Amino acid sequence: MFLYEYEGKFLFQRLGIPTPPGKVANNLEEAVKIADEIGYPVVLKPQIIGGRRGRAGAIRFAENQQELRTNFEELSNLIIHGKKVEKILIEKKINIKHEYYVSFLLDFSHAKPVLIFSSEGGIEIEEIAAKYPQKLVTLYLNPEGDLQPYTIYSSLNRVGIFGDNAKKFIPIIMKLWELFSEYELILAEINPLAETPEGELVALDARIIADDNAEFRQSYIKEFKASRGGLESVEYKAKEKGLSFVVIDEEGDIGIIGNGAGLTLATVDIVRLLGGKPANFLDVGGGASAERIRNAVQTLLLMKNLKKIFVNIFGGITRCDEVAKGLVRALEELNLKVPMIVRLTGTLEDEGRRILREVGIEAYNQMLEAARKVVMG
Amino acid sequence: MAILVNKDSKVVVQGITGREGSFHTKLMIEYGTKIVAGVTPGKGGSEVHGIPVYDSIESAMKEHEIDASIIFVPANFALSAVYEAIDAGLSPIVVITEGIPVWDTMKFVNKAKSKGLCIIGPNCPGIIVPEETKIGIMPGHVFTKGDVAIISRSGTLTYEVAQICSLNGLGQSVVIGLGGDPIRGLTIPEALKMLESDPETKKIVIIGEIGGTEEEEAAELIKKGEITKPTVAYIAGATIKRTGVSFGHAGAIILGEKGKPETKIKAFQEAGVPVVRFPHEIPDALKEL
Repeated sequence: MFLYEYEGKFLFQRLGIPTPPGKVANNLEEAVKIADEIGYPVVLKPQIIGGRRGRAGAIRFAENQQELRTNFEELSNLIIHGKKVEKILIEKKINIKHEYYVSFLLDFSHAKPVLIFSSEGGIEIEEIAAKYPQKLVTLYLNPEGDLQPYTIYSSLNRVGIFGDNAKKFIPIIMKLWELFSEYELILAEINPLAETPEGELVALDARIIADDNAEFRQSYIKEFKASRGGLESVEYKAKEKGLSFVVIDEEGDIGIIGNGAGLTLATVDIVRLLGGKPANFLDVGGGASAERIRNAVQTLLLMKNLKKIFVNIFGGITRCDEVAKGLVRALEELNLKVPMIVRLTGTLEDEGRRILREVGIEAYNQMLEAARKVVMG
Repeated sequence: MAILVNKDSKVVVQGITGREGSFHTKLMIEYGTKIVAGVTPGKGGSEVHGIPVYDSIESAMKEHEIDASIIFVPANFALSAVYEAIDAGLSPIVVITEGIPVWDTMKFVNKAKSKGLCIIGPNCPGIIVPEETKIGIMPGHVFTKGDVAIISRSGTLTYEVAQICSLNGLGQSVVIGLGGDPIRGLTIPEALKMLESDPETKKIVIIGEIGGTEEEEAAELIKKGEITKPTVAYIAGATIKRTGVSFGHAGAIILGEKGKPETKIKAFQEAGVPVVRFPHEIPDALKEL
């Protein structure tokens, strides 16, 4: 799970990593209040996951309340990376002498944590690597989770930072490591890590990826998810019912249900490649009960343009009779107004087909055949 | 003799007394897998489908010869179970469990590597050598014996592809579900290297998906000529654009530029590997190679 910048900075503050004074605002009124508290000039940062806001012209500054109001309204109407801006972080503007880059990340291919530091920050890491390879250091760490200051010193020395200048980075990087390892993160990135004219180091941005699988022992994940609104909260609630639900296209008209992530992705692909507009990805997982299937259909009803539902099941652990019972329950209880096209094969498929036939649904055997029916009618 | 396992592989089931563990033990025995013992801490002395249960692998190994393990224990106990199998020197260790924190997986994957042991998974359907052995949870009847190897990051989609292949007369030498998590034991490139030297395998199907960089690394191996066997690839999620969110599998996530389907497809094409758009196109693509 990607954290929003304001969520990441909340964790930074908890660990004692310095951030500019500020708070997230849900509306103009709150923004004005926050700016009055921290004092002008302020910076306005729309909270959008995915980065690169600077390039989209989405980071604004305000010297006074008038400018704050104008910029806030403009930013509120922006669509960035396909998403409407809902929250804006209001922070004290910091004077910058130089920008650095520091991150810890799990390198999936090597199955090891990595420390990345660069004496040039403020631009995307890929760009730093291309432009200033000699100013970038990458260091693989012990997967058992232990980091000592000497490792950081040698990294800093490699990019030409020595003595007192190196020493002042140690606390902030050690705290970032503590956050990374104790919160079991996939990425903890400060970019830029700003140095003020007074020589202080401040984390101007926070990009953090948490591991959803660690939710059972990392309470912050649950807290952040529960506090989010909109589509994300729908996706989160679905997850609590054992459903992996992701909105693909809010305008899409074909609802997709499958079992298994790969098969469900393949189902989305086949519908789109045949010319249809899939609205979502919904994986019911393995061994889904009738109840879970019914809830899956109910979740799709949130898609506003829904015209058809395509259910693609290859039963392994999943039993086709349970799936069929769940679909029948959905028909009976949810007052469905859209047709359901079902592909059902695998464990107990004969029984599943029989149950569906009783309510007038003839299940398909092959995925392609069913997908054609969904898209072409 | 296939790769990693064969009909003589003796297997312990860790977490045999749980719902999934017990159910699949029965199915594996029916398929012909040599399940010799089960382990559930605190349930030693009991039996599941006629298989003796022990508290630890160590006690099981006093009574039985054991080569490999399959693990069904819940995510919060998985680290201990995998460590136990590693300490016993078992290989492969097939980790079926879904939802293991990635930091735990990182630890056991490194530990196994340092001892030269093979982990398959986690969050995977396992490995099957048709008509010989099945150390996994896949529906056995869709697989037939032959000379096509299938390696996959998916579960259900693997069954789909195996069935399509079987219906078209393309049997399988071995099918491995590598799992859906971002950090895994056996990777696509490692599996390819094993298959390259496997006399039973003539052709290979790679079922990749969005997220990670393994498909690109596999394509690089093929480009360099380290893998010479004819290979077909399919990428699940080829039409996905949304970034920063996992699609069902924790590993199926596009992070910035990493994990995009376009890069994977391009890498395979540049290595001369045909990439099919639909699973049902795989048999024809294999026959054309």
